[in-house]
Amino acid sequence: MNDSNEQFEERLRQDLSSLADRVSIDNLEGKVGHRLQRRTMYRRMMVGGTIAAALLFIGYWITFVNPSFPIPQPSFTSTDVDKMITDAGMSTELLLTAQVLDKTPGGEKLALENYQYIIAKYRDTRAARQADEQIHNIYNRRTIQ
Amino acid sequence: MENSDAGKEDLDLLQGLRRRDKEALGLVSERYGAFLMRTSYLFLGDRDAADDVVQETLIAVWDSVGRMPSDLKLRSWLFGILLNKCRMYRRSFWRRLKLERRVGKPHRIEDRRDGNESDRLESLRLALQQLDENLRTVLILRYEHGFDIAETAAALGLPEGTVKSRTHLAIEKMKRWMEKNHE
Repeated sequence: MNDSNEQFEERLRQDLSSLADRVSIDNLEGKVGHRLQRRTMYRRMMVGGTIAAALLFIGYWITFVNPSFPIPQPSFTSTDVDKMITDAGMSTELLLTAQVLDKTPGGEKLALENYQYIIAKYRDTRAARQADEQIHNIYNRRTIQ
Repeated sequence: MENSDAGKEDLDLLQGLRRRDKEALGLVSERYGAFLMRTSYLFLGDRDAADDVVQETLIAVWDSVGRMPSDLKLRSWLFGILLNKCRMYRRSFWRRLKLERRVGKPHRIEDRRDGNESDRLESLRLALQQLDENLRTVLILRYEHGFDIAETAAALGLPEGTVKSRTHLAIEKMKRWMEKNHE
């Protein structure tokens, strides 16, 4: 019985060895290296993807969720800008005319009307601010006289 | 003398791996590739699966060399990792399906053995796959790698008595399988 066991074990040893001989290592080093490279690439892609997703989320949050980051809206349209330029030109011309009238004897009343017109019509212009000063000057002059 | 040389070479390889030297990983695969491949083939019974598991084992070696217990030999550590990878391979649902489909099919024999011997080997391959995992592991260590009872017990972390009883049981089952399939 023991002999037959030993014979079987010996044959098993030989057969296991023959069976294992069926496989050979075929460019194992290259395959492992390739797999490691691929894994590094995947990891980099994952990190890159995570960063991109985080940036997208932050952008979305700033733009649409957080009210303390309003989207800067353009203040003026091109039409507004055109009007501002025209108004500045017109008001300056009127101011000059009014100043000439103001220096002309007897023209003070007409100059005052012109200054008041500039203030009413071209309120936010530089000429309107100067016209306001000129009106103060006229009243001051009148008080002194 | 030969053993101490091998031990020194293993230490050099481990130092290389710890330095993240890819050449050292190449040397590990050169030196232990055949051992790993033969073991995983006998364990899984399929060439592609064995190849896959060996690659995974070497990658795990690369990743976890820093955590390797200092009292363990490189060969035993590799064997432990390989065994875990084989078990994980079998546990993975999709891989198990693929494996079961392939293991059942006869493998083409690419050597010059005669028909009878080829049949015997094919029968052995299938018989190994029928064995319980614990018995198969003991059988591979004892009869393919020539480990004695003490070495097998140390490699598997089992008492020697358990190794003896598992060896006995494995032999009995293999005998029964072989007799049944050769009648």
